[in-house]
Amino acid sequence: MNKTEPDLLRNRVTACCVLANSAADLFRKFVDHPVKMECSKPPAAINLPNELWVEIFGHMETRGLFELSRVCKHWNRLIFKYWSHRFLLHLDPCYRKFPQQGVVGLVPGREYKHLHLRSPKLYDQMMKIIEQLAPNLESLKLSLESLDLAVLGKILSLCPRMNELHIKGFHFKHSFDLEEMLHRARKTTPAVSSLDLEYSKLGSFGRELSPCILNVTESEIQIASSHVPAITSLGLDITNLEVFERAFQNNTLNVTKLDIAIHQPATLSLVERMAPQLKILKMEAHEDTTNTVLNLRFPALQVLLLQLHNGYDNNGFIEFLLGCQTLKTALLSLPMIDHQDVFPTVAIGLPLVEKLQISSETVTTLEDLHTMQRLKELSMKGGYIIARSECHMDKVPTVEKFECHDLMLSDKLSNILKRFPNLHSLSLGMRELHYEMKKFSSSVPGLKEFTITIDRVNSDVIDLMQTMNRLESIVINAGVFAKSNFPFLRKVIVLPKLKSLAVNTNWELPESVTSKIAAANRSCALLLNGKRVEPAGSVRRRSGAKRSRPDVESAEIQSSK
Amino acid sequence: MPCIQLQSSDGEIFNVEFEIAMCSFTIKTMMVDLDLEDNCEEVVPLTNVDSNILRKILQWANYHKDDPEANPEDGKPVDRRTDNICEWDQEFMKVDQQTLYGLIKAANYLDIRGLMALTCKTVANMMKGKTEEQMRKMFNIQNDLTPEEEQQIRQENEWCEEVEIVAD
Repeated sequence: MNKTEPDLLRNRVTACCVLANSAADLFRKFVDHPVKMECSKPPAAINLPNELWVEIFGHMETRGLFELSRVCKHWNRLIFKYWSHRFLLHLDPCYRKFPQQGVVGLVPGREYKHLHLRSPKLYDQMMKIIEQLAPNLESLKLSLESLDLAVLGKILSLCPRMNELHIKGFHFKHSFDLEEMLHRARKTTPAVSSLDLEYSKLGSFGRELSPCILNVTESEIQIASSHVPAITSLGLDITNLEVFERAFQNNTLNVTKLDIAIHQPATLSLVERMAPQLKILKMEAHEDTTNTVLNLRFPALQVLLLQLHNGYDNNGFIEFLLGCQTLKTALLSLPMIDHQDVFPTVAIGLPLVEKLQISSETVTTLEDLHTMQRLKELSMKGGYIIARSECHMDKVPTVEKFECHDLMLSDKLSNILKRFPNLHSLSLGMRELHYEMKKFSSSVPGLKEFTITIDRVNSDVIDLMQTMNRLESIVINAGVFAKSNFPFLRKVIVLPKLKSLAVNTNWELPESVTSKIAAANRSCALLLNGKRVEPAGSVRRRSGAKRSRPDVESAEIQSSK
Repeated sequence: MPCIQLQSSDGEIFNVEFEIAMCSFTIKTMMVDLDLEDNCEEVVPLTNVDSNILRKILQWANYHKDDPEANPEDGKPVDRRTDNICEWDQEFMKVDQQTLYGLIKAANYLDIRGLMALTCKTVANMMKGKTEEQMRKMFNIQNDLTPEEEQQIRQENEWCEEVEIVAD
């Protein structure tokens, strides 16, 4: 290896050239000008093959890619050819996010895979942009005030790769024919797997539309059904859904996620068809549909968000809940009914649920809770928990997390909490701390996380937290947290195991007050509205920089609550 | 320990343990295809890698020989992070630009996935936080965009958002 420096360099250049042969023009450049290469600057990095640049760009943040795309034409082309799936082009003429007049449109030859158009209507220039992007478009979101379905059909026919379509609108033209559109979408873009439709003003068109849907000939329906339906996620809030029922008839077999508002009992047959395969269901029953809704059965459902507005038949509700055999999470929002306790009903209906939330103004006893053998998280919002001495108040050892917001209690909170011997997370929300809410810490010796949402933090609240020795994390959401009361937190922050103390409030709290508290226990992070408070006397703080950056770890703890 | 002889483009011959040479999928495939596994006499010429680069690569491969093998088909999302480079690798990457690009190309040619990722991440880290002009200087790139084109791209970039990755 006693080679001279120029020799080595020449060898290297040769090696580079051999590898760069994919970029033929560059290869020529090196061969034509070898002398220049040897004497002057280091060789330009531009001789890396395209695939390596693409690989390197892949490690950049999406924002960083934009910077890179302005370095030269070559990089610009590479980035938009290989990484455009990370960009969403969002055009919105109202916010001047649109080519100015005189400019043809986008960079010629530009490809995007995701497009969002937000505009009062589809202007001609927008159509030109869509036509340019259509061959590569994979997802399209249209937020328009009005839309002519014939135009939509035309767009869909141009987009062979489309698999996600989201249409949000206010007003659709009279030529609207949803069935026709879906039918066309299926013919031209068989890969659409996610279709989301949101309209505000559709009801008034229903009557006019129904004849045009009835006019569809049988042969056309057969064509539609011969295509394999691929929609997996569907959101509907339409007043007279039955008009469109036939339209969805052949497109709902694969729907596993449904978000639906039911306005009329007649629309239920659509839900019924999807019911056997639904996994996630958000359902809101309006007006008189409640008891009809409860006749549905969802044997594969895992997550249920149910909102009932009217009174329901208790036995019917139990049957309904029992019909959801595989349910793990239930979030129920129920109306208030006199002389009816939600709890036995829910407990009988959902013996295997792991997470339960009840939002209701109703009166309940929490009786029979122990029959829910797998319940881990319980959340009660609103309502009135009463204690009756004759009730079964057995312990529920599975419950680890209890949330209790805007509740009225006829009993001490400690008596309720005693039923959860393994509780480690508790969240309380109330206007003020009543006597029955105080002094429960001895009932929950294992509590690690505590969240309190309260109108005003006063010394009672502080005293309460001070007694919970095992706490690792505290979150205080306060309407008012007076700066004269804030120093009391000193007693709380010194809790032996506390790692994070987060305060969220709109109240002004000067740094001179908060930083002193942070300094009282440096091993615990004090967060004010998500930002870490730097302890007083810290050398890192400079004038002008009021607060330090938010501490990532503690911010995570907070956001996970 | 069985060895294989690798010859760099400038003629130097390296005696390399099988285990270490196998980090390169190119060499691995070649050895399987040519049935060289029992034959230590054969010299494998690497016409695209010079001795300086090859020496560096062997140093890296030796340190990383016990790393779990990355399976390209295991369907894991691509590791986009660049802040997860171990200390040894960071030290290893303190080389001049020319060596760095030599390493990238050689890692690509020899198909050494771990080294590919490391070198690409290193270049990406060099780019981060740089302005367009700084990057052009760093990579000796001529700006071939007209001011109008640059303006158009800049405008279009402002209309772009990051695609949200929806986790179900």
